[in-house]
Amino acid sequence: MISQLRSIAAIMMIFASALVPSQLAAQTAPGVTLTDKQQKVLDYMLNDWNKPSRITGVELAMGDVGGQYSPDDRYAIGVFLKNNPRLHRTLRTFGWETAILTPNEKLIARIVSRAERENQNPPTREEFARIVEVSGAEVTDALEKLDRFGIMRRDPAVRGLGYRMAEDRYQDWEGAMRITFMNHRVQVEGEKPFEVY
Amino acid sequence: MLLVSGELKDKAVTIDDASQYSGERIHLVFENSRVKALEPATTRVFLGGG
Repeated sequence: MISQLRSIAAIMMIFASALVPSQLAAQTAPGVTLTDKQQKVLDYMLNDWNKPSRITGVELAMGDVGGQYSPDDRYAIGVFLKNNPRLHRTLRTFGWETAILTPNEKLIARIVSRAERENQNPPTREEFARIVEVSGAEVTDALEKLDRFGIMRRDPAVRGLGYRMAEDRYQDWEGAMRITFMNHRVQVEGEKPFEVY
Repeated sequence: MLLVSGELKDKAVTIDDASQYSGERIHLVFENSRVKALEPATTRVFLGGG
């Protein structure tokens, strides 16, 4: 009888230990880990978001932290934020997109989404360069980043731009507590810049 | 704007934004809650109130 109980207890323990990793896995990004320097940026952002009205994004946080960061670093942190909404209420409230896109990327996405909502052709790359006040190469780079994050996608049928919003929700993103493609950057004299909602 | 007229009211603050409609860049400079510079000049600033 005792050995039978021990066997049942052992089976229960094995079953329980099998459950624990799967519960933990649900809270962290599967297969995505951050390097120490990427983690430093993430920590900076999470600390920033604890301050009133703050929503400093990855690009600005990388600059504030200092050091050399690449587009791949921003992508890695972006994917990590996308996969881990439990990290901070700001992510759950406003979405990961607004925290990972640059002001230029947001502006381009905002204008394209509006054109699609209104059944208009979006601006061409040349027009975007003028509107956003950047080079044509920077417009192309922004479109590629938006594509990489799955927010826009290539579509040769879109004349002049070659991209469209990847999902309907990116056309209809505006509304209460929706700041997906909005950006407000603040610089207080003598302090590091930050972003607010 | 709430920050500029509240928490940051004694500071020199620069804000970079873009028009919600046209996408045109907006650049604002405040000192002691007052607008010191703004581009484009047609920008309307609402500093709160009822």
